[in-house]
Amino acid sequence: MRAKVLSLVLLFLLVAVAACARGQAPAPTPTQMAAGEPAEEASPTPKPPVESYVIGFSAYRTGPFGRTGTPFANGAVDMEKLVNLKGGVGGVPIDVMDIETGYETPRGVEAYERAKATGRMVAFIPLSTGTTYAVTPKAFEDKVVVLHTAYGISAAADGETFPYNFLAAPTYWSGDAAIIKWIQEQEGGSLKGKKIGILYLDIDYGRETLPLHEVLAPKLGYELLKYPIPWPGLEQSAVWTNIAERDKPDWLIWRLWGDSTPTALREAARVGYPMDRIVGTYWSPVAVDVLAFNPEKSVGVKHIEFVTPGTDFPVIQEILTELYDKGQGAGARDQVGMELYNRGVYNVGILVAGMQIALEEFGHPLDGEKLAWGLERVTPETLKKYGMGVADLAPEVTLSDKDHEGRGFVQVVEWDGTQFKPITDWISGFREEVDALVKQAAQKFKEENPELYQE
Amino acid sequence: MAILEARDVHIAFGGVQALQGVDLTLNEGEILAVIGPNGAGKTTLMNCISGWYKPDKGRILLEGRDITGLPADKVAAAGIGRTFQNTAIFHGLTVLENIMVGAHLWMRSNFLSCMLYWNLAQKEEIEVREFAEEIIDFLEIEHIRRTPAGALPMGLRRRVELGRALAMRPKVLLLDEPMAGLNVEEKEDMARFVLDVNEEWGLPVILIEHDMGVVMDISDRVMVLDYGRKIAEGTPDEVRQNPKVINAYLGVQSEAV
Amino acid sequence: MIYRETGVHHTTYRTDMALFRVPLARWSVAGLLVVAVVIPFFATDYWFSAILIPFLTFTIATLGLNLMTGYAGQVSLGHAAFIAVGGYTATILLIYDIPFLAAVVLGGLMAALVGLVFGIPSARIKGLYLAMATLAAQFVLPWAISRVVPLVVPTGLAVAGGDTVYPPRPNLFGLEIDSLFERYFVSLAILVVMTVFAMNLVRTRVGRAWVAIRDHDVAAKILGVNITHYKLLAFAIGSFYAGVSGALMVFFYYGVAHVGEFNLDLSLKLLGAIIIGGLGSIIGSFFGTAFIILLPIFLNISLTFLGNAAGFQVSSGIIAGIENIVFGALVVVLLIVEPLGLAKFWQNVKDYFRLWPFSY
Repeated sequence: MRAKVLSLVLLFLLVAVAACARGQAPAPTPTQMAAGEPAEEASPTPKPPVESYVIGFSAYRTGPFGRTGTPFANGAVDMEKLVNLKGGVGGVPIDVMDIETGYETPRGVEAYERAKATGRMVAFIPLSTGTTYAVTPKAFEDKVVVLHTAYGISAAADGETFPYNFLAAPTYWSGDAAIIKWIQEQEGGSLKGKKIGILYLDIDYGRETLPLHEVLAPKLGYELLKYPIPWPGLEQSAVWTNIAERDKPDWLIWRLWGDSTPTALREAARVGYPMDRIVGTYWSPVAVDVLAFNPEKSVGVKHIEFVTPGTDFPVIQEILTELYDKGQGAGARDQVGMELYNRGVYNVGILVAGMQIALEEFGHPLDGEKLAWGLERVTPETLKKYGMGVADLAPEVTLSDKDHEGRGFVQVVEWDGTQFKPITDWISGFREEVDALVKQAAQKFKEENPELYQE
Repeated sequence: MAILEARDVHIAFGGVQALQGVDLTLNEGEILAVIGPNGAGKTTLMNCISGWYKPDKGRILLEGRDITGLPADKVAAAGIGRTFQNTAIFHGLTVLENIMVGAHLWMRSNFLSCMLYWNLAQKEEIEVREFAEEIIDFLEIEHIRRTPAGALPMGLRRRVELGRALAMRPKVLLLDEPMAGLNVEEKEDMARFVLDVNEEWGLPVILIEHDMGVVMDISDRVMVLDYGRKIAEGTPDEVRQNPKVINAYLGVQSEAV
Repeated sequence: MIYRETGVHHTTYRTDMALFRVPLARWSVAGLLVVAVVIPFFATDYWFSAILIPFLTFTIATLGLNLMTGYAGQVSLGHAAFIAVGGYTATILLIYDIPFLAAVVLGGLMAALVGLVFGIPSARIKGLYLAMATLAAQFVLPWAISRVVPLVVPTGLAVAGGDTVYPPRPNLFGLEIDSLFERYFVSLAILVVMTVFAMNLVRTRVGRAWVAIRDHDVAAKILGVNITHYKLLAFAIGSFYAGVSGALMVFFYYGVAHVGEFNLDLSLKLLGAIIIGGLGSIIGSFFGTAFIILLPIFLNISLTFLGNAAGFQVSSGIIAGIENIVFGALVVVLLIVEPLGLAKFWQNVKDYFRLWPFSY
């Protein structure tokens, strides 16, 4: 018995080591299947000059955040297939190496290294704050684009300080600034005497926008109420008693994540806080949170978006007809069009746009540096031209070598009982205050990490 | 010459008076047996002496020094070594290491020198090893010195425990039923070791034992407890004749046998 | 063959008590060290960053937890928090221009001090109750770090709410430790030293006292072991290891001090590592770390590889599922077949080959 088990384990390890010893993990290769072979049959194009362009992706469909990680990952993988069906980037297929990490940073670092070991990685999607922190210095060295849409390092909006980090989406500061702007409009233009509460996870992500509010509150005259919740945020009853009985804030801004969000929805319903006075940041409450709680009782709850949710877009329709109708979709059909799903689509789409722009300038082969150059030339027009349809999802993004954020436009979306629907146009606010924070943070980062800037 | 004295020891647990004014005197070089029926308070008395219980009243003197109420490790340092009724060896350590733990209290090297295995620590370890080997020779357990103690049968465990207590270099040895669970041959061996310890090492011994044959054979004096009181004391022969003892303990037993 | 004692006779206790009694054991350890020194000359970036450096740094933490829990029997669910204390202390010291080695050691000492404080309940409680008490460290310390760090080092990212700090590049006696190659060797050297320390501790007075307390605390006390003292010592030394490992993780592995990495999940993983590797075993700490940290990666890679080799296009979601099932099954099978962990497996192999080929 023991000998058998031992030999099995040994055999397995041998296989594993053999696999690793090839220098890298073999990529899951939808590429040849999706793009290469059918393309050859259809039109005898010459063999692509590069095997594929790799986009490393730390996905998580399991673990504590698997519920939120799944739609995003499916969106990214479906978009990859769609792009390759359409001939990839100038004939070269893209390869989104989605590696399961369970939202663990060590696994995220491993995913980065595994994708890098292919020698063809042009970009990496960390999808976790911790992984973004850990791979950022590596990206400086490896010259690989790190795309962290509306999470990660907000200071990376300063493209001159963070040459390879791209948000291509608003920062948390832009988000909260826009929320305040919107609330101000709802209140008839003045926030004087209003009480605005921030319900946040007491970790760096949750606290990140407090400095902004400390600037804005005295200026606009609203009272800032802070409601920290200890990580992981499953115990909130005390805070909600304060909210409902003592403070009664006029509005609540949420900065939660994962399982803390359904918990907060439950508590809000329990104490009877009006759902339509809740405006979350990009990550809470999202559709999967609302579904995990109660879709009917959540009507009116809002969050801000940098891509429009829904399926009424050519690119999403194409995914449905080309992939899901043929049984090749990566996930469940009813998740298509959720905001997290569309963000996955947008992530891959904007990278493809950057690659196409760079391709026009440089031709094959592309690398991370050229991709960064391309991304810096993304405008509403170029995105429309090269973005394979994602311009419909985020029509106001304008990147440049200085601005890796894209001007910070957001949309307020509201839960109508079945889905989140936009209730505003693309808005932004208090750019001066936001830019000052970005500048300050970027400047200090540069001073503190001189070794990253040695050439 | 008394080396260990207990004077008027009282202790109660809840409403139960476990010891009610027990006096005990152990003279240098003698083997004192403590007998009595189950629940008479024998082990409780041992626990009071070794510092595990603090008596409600009364004093314990070792070589005239008051050790009443000292924590158990300080009592051990003062010179009282003991074994347990249900053996309490360290399963995860080898026999050799078990015995070396006995030497713990008179070793001096601290954790830093241990970490580095530096000068003092190394010298001391080797010195203790030599000493432990002497005990191993004495107890005739050379063949199992590297065996994990948890894998040993009861007879050997009792020997290891005795060796461990000897390694403390105690002034007084308390043996709590060292023969329990042993077969006749093992009992003979153990009795021989106890006598040798007493004679060769000159160590005074307090022995709690149920096996009357052993008690009567090897002890110099016998003390009898019943319901937390001392009901008799004297040479084995005197005690054997004592009607109180026969009534409370021996008689009961002989009827049972 | 592998572990042959026959014909090895020691004539002094000194040689009999050496770290490795049998020449073959000495040779194999030497061989292992040679391999460890040669590997980096062939290793790729992937091997350094994803396998070797995390293995070296996490193993130091596992060693510490094994001293504390495996040897001394003091269950701790707060190990990751002690790692965080060490990592942050060392980072802050490095920012204030304290030399690298001093920063690492001081980081360890700071963690030891904090571990000592959180070990105080061990004087009164043990087992599951102590585990719950140490859990407090896992909640209090990250919170405290996120409050204190921004005050001590107001970094650029502190504008973003707090506690994420990029350490400056450490240098050792004037040489910048920069490349993965150098990071590997510095980590390796520190691991080797820490391992030797741990082996010395467990074979001498201190280690015996720890095991005595673990196996039978009453008997240990009756034998004159100052229980409280040794329990606290276990907490301090275990946390010292955690602190040193935290410093190395921050400097060489993550490249950033981010309190989110040092969560309860990590504490539980390390606990799993010592249980699977073998409680109360130094080599078990190495096996256990490899099992917990590296095996999932191997599984993921080889499943992907096998899937592709078989011509399937496997989604990462399915691979993740299979990976979790296989990993879980391996843990269960392992603990049923050998509850004493991988170290016992290794011992069985050695015992088998001791008399080989005459296995009677």
